[in-house]
Amino acid sequence: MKRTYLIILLIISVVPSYPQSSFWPENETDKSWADYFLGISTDSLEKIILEDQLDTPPSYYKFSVLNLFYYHLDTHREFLIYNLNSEFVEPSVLHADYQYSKILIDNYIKGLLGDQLALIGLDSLAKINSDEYRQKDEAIFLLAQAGRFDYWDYVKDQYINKQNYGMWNTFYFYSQDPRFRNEVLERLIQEAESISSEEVLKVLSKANIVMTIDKSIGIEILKNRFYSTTGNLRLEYFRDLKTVDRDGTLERSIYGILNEPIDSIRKEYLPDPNRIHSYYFSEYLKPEFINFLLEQANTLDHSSVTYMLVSRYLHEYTPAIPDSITTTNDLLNNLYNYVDSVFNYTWLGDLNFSNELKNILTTAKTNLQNGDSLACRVQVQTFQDLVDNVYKDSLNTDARFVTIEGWKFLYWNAQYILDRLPKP
Amino acid sequence: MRIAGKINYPIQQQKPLKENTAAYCFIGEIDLPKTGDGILVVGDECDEEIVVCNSFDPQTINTNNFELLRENVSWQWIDKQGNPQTTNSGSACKLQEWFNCDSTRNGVTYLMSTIGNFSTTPQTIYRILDDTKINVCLDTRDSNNKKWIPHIENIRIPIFSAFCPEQADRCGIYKDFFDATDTAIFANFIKNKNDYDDVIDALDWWWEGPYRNAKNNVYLKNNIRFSEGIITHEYQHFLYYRDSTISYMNSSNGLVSLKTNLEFQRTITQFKCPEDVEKDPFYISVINSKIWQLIHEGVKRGRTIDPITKKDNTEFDCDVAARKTYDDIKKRINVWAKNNGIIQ
Repeated sequence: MKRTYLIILLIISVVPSYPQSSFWPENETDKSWADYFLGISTDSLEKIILEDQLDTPPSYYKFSVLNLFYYHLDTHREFLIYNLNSEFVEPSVLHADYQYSKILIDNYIKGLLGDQLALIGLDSLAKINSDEYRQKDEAIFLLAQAGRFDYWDYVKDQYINKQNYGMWNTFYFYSQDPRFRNEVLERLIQEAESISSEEVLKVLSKANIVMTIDKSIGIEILKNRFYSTTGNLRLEYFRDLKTVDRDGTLERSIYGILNEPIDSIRKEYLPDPNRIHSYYFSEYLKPEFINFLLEQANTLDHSSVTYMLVSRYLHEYTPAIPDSITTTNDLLNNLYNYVDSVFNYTWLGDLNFSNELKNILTTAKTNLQNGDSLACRVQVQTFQDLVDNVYKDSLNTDARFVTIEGWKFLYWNAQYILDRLPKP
Repeated sequence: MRIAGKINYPIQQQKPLKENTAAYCFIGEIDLPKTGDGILVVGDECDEEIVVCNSFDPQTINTNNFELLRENVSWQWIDKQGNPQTTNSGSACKLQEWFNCDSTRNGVTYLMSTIGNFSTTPQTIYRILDDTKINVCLDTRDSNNKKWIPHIENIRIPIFSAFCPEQADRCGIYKDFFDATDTAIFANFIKNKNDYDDVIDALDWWWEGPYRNAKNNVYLKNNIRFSEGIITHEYQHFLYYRDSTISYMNSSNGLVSLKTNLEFQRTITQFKCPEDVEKDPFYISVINSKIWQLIHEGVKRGRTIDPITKKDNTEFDCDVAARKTYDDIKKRINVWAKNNGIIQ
């Protein structure tokens, strides 16, 4: 039996304060349902809630509750907590559906108000001995949002066997319970695999959902699509993968350039020469990619757009500017390693010359570690000058040489270090 | 059952008095076609001819039942009394407006169950289903239990979907390139290669999308936006809501229940004439309540709630849908930048 509002007013003083944290987030569409009763007096809204009548239009109870919650919570918090107590009835009872709707909205609002009793009320709906009531499904979803995962068999049966797509969100939420995580994940992988690669949005969407449970598996789904498709489709997967698997971008670019026969698509696997130092393209400034482009320049049709872009990129690139987090010592180590890389790519000739450069850097590192930045600077400057002189003196007859690529990596990386060191 | 106290229902929902019945005689004059599933039976004693059902196919809806609204557009309908009404969507971006600047909301899409409440001038409020009409036909398959079966005319589902710059602008001054067709904007904001880089950095950020950038903790720099992309993003939400609602309302749990569930049927002993049942306030509200629930559930199915963040994962899908728009914008900017010697 419901209490009257007057009685409630009398007992408000002994009501313990309820916690403010909600068991579930507000459903955005509910606000618009609350608006349905905009302008209706709170007396009328209370009356709809209190006078439990079957000839009141079924949705009006819900709209009244939502309106009080959204527009009059400051004055009606206690009213809602004490009066949203619709009684449970068995499914066999006429108008059970109506009563279940009321129990659902009662406990949804109580949960928003942080009332523990909401969970008990929803459990009563979740245990309805019939799967014909949508309120049962909604109660199980709300309980899952509150971290209660007690209805797995029902959820799985509805979603998988009965294709009840309304249970989708609930099924997905059950992945939060370690007992069900793998089963949900396996099902999602299956669903992703069943989507045709042509339906790019659907594949990306499903892979994204998988990523929320296990990022690496979601990325694997996209990588499989990249390697199993061709043309523009492959390009779509390539572009999306760039945003979630940055480390693999270089490898996939190379794969795309090598395997894409259509020039207008193949060029899309190249970085934009206008954006060489963009955050998005720093992977393309590594020696291995430059070496790859040099090899491609020898095999590509010179009239192709891809060739033109490769040539322009090779002409205009400079090595990646190091971020501010990298220490000067690390920059010296990197430059040391670049000497080896550049030598291995034969962008620098003569092992003695290579060793001479590395010895200079070793001295520079010692100077830095001893706190002598000025001496370190002198060494790095010596390194840079030597590289520059050998590069410019291309007509000399000794074995020492530096190509333009070798010069760019060694000269510019030395410059980035000099920019960090104090001038005398 | 207790007797109901007087409830001040919204004007469109007031239970009509018996004397009001005459108002419905205007129905023929306001051009609402009778399209029930049946054949006409003439010569009865009712104001409206009794139509015997000859089809029991479930009622379905399609894309024509949905209307996309932006801010400050007018909305017309014929009320239950047959009078033409007009209202205005007003500043509907304000629904659940964000007030702080922790993050920004650039657009919004939602089911408009009421229209007119965001108008700056006093307006009549339209409430969803205010202009539906119930037509019944008589199911005579069981001669001992003839009953009225409903068919709902004129189901209109208004969905608001728009670019909403107000909160974002309040939290930072944005440069908007719109759809990048206005070269005056380019000339104003892109003076050199650095400016160009800023714009393309922002464009690349939007292409990746707010959803994925938030996951990667990458934030938009330079407060540059391209509102055409945001509109495309919101439109995808509209498509998801529309398609999920169609799918649900046309499913075995949907509108078909109006023809199969006893709750929505009335016997000829309860109501002698079609107009009696069609205009019975309680019957109308029972039918409307069911359709409200179906629409609500259908729209809800257009979302996927992330169990951890509790945010809608379809935000990602909508970001992806907007990528084509951002690709087109980039092409336009690059053409202009080349023609103006900013890039090669």
